[in-house]
Amino acid sequence: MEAKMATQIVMDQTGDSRHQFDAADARSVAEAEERFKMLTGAGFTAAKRLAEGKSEILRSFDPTAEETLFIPRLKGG
Amino acid sequence: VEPPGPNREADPALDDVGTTARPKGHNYWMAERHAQELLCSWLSPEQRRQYDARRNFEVVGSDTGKRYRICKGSVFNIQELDTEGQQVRALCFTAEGVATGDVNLAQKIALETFESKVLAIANRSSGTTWHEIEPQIEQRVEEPRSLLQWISRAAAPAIAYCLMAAIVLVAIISGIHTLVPA
Repeated sequence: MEAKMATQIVMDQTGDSRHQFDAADARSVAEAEERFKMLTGAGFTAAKRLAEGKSEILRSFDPTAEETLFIPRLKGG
Repeated sequence: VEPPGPNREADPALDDVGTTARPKGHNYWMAERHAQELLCSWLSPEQRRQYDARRNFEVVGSDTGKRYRICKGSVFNIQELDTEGQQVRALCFTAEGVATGDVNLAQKIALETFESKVLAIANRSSGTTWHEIEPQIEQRVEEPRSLLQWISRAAAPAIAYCLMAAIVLVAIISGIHTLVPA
């Protein structure tokens, strides 16, 4: 059976960088969690994609999220 | 010109190991294309339809239920709408160092999930300049639509040069006639 891959998408100067991890592999999940903590600690906001254009802000790492987007810190323009 | 942004070389969280990160030497326009693809993939079907038709889309604020129109752009590109869909004011907040598509996606998610928090940092204006600016930009980059239009555009400078040359030639000839007696 094919492993279900989850994706962390980080907005950056190239458009975005994508990091995939296997939700069934403990080491892969640990790396993804570490990345989550580093990015949110650096000021990124994490959002989980829901159905139909909806999203939800993640305060902690969610290994079940199929797609997590990391948004750089927002500021008044 | 590469816009500023997170430094992937220095930040281990952004390294390329085990990822499908973009290749080195990426330019601004490719970044913008990728950002537009990402934005479109996160829009609802209705927002996508709006964006394809008029390069803006509407979102509903998570706390107030107010409607906002996010226009393609990154400076005062958010219009707060009244119940009639008319603009009340323009708002400006942005994500630094990323392409326009990413900025617009960040604005959408922020308004749809933590509206009050983001409104607290947003700058406000009585109106947006988006509708005034966009047509000018379109006009500037517009390609000639017909062969006749293309010829007239290409011929205009040539005609101008010919006229100038003729004037100079006439001036020289009349100068010679003045200096050399008949």
